[in-house]
Amino acid sequence: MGFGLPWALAGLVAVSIPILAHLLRRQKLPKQTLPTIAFLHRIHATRAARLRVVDMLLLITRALLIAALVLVAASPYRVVQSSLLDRQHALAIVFDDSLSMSAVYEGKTLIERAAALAAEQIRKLPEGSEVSVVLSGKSPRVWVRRRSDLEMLETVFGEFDGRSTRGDAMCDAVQAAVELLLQSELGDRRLLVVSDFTEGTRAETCDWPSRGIRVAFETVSAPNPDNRRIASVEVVGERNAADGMRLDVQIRGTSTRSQQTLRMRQKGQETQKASVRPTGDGGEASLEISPGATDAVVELQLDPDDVLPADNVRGVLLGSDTVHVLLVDGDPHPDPRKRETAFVSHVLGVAPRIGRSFAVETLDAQDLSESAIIRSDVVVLANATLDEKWLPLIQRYVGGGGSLWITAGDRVNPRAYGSVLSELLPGRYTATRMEARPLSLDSKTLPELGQAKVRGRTPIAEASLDAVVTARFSDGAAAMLEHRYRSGRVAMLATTIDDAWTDLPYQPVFVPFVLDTLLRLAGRTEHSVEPYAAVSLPGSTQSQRIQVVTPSGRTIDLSEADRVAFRETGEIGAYRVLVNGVVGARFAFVVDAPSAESDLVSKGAPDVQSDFEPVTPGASSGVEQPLAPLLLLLVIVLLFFELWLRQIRRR
Amino acid sequence: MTHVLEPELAVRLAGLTLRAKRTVDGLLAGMHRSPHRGASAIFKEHRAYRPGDDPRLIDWRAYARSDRYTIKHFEHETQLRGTLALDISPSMHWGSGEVSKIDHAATLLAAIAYLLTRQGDAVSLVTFDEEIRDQLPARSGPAHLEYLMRTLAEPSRSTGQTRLHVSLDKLIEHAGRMGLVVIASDLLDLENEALDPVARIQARGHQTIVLHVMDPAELELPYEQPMHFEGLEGESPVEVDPKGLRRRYIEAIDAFVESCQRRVVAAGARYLLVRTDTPPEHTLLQLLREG
Repeated sequence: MGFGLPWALAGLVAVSIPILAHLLRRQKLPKQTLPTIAFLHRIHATRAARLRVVDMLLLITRALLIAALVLVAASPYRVVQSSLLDRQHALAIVFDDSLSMSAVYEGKTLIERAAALAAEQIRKLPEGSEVSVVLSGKSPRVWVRRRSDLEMLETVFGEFDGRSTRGDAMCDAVQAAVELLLQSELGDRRLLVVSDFTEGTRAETCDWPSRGIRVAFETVSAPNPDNRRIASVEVVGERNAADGMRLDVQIRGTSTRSQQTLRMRQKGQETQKASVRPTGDGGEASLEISPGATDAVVELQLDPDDVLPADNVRGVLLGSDTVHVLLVDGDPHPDPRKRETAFVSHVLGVAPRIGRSFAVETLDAQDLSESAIIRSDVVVLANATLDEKWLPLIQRYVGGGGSLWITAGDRVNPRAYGSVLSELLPGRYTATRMEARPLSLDSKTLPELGQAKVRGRTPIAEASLDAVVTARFSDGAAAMLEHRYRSGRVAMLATTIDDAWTDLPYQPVFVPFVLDTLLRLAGRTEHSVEPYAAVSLPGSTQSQRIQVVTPSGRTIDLSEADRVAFRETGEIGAYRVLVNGVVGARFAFVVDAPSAESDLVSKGAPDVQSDFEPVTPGASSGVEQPLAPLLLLLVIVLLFFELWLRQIRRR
Repeated sequence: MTHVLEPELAVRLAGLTLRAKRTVDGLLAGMHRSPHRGASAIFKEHRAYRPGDDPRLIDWRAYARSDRYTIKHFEHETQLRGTLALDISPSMHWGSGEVSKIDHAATLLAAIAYLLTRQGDAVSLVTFDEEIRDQLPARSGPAHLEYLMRTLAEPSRSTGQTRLHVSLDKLIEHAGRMGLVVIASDLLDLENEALDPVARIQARGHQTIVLHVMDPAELELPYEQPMHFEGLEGESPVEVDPKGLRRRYIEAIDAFVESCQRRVVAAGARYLLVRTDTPPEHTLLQLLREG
């Protein structure tokens, strides 16, 4: 038995009121002499015993009445054993299968222990009950949807995979479980949450049901959650630099191990190892990578394993800062200085001086190839006449995360761009025209653009809804327009990128204008993703085979499609993407263990009113049943009894 | 004893005559018929002679006519000997109003004494509780009346309970033979033999009047709140709610009064319930009218 408002029990002091009143009343009775008192004795003698009983009953009744009222105010409840509640009910189990639940304790992971608990809960359910199971690892999944085949469910939990690399999405899982319960026709609806309730669970932020659904929590946690993880890796140097690269690795967390080693693997082979130097909050280590490393990614592993091995692994992308730019020259010239892309090439050549690294490849428009495009972060179509055969290639490229910068010129055919790439472009080129009076440019981010003069332009009209104008002509028309297309970005410039229509290339602002534009467009999708997150990759084609190699070395062929949402990202570590069998640096990615999952200290169940006791192995089950209605009934009975006693006393 | 006999009461009762119902023997002649047969101006009856009769009472003329010994009876007016008995037990000293039972009873007895004295009758006084406390001989005259009233006003202090059968038995010895005995008491002696002496008093030839003096509160128990009741003669106290048992109390008191009346009347005596809230003259008038 328990009380919802235990402080209200202080009111039990009021029970003394009728007792004190009784005693005071006895003391204060007026005295009266009466010669015929013998007759009172004679009558009272037969009545006195009864009166004493009635008085005592009145006293007890009044005391009980007050006590019952106080107890009602204290919201009492009792835990009723399941045998008393053998009625069918709908049970939704929110099962935490996040990474922290993979912690190993006495040879078993917390997931395996939680699965045993859940199976026990299901075993105790009355026949005809309905069970749903929602897994709260990110992303939450409905694992069992309103099933009544309890024996099957028990078996399923027995075969549960005890390890996970998922983040936590408890709140979404709770929402899904509540929706399942609300779909049930059974009146008794219960929500059981089985979790370690660590920091990463964030259960206290969830929207817990308050009416119509009883909620209970079962905490499963490791008693000694010492755990270390690779917290961060800083890549120092360039992949192709002469003096090689260095990885500075930070380790966080506590460990009972006196000595730990950090091992580095490339293509599955251990290439280096270093001892972890202890620091105040963990440790640190450095690893050298010799010049000419051929792989775009490496894997680090902390050895030996602790209670949570999954966060001891980390994939590292090498050279991810280099932007690969493909310049497609639509107006080639034998003299490189007179090419359409000459000024941009010059700018990219001086870029390392300002700390940025560009890998530049220049092709004539007629030499454009699929492999060249896929290797690039940004493709610049400089005054290029659009060929329809490029369309599927460019669509797949941009949709898969590539970026496109189209610059105007006399070779740009607005009609072809408008009809072929209309969906892809942020606007539509209109007829080219030469201005009688030069126009200036206006940009909020680069005010110096105002120094440039523009004599000719291919105006852009009908901008898409999501288009952003980054620069305008002095007459207000858009000079530079950008928008996102699927995972990629597309920008259009209304004038040339050489000196044919404008003196912009001669202006100092041209350098930051080009670099900012390219870096902005090259802002790739995240290279580091959470476990099981979808990674957008280009699909295979007839001429190009795309494969993904997982951290464990498994090779997965991607299906033929413009783009593929690759979801087999459950392993922690580095994923390589092969284009026709060759490692492509642009699409390599790593899956990191969710950092919040490494904190294994349980915070306990959230401070939510728990309505029923879940079944624990070896213990009988029960629910909290409010006793206030029964007590109110008792109060009414006591009131009537008190009135009746008073009548009896008066007779 | 300023209130024992109010002057106003004495004037109003001056014209009334107390006639004893039965003749009493006494030495002084008066308005009362003598139970003694003998020489008198008023012939009463003849009856057959029985051995032991005074031969001087034989009517020889009647013998000559009927050849049978006949006794000639005459009525005599004789002096009445009145014995007043006042219960002075503690319970008599109680009253719910201004007048206690003993005050009321004393007033009544004083009035009777006054009347008897005016008629030239001899009056004696006895006060009692569990035994005889005060004892005044039967005398007549103003001086004795004053002495008697003073005694009524200031009777001896009572120390015991009412024990009627003991004290009334002793009263028999005091009252002598063939007189008027007036007993004023609340009769709160609940023993079965309490009123047995009344029959024995009657058997001695007395005309006995029992004035059962009760306070209205004793008869009606008019209290409304629960109270701590205490007795006056050593009874244990009791806490009761009078409202709860009033009906049964009144039934019990009525039964007690009825029982007293039945036993007194059965003994041949007169019974009169006297409420202290009734004016004493009403009681006296009732007593004299029903004479």
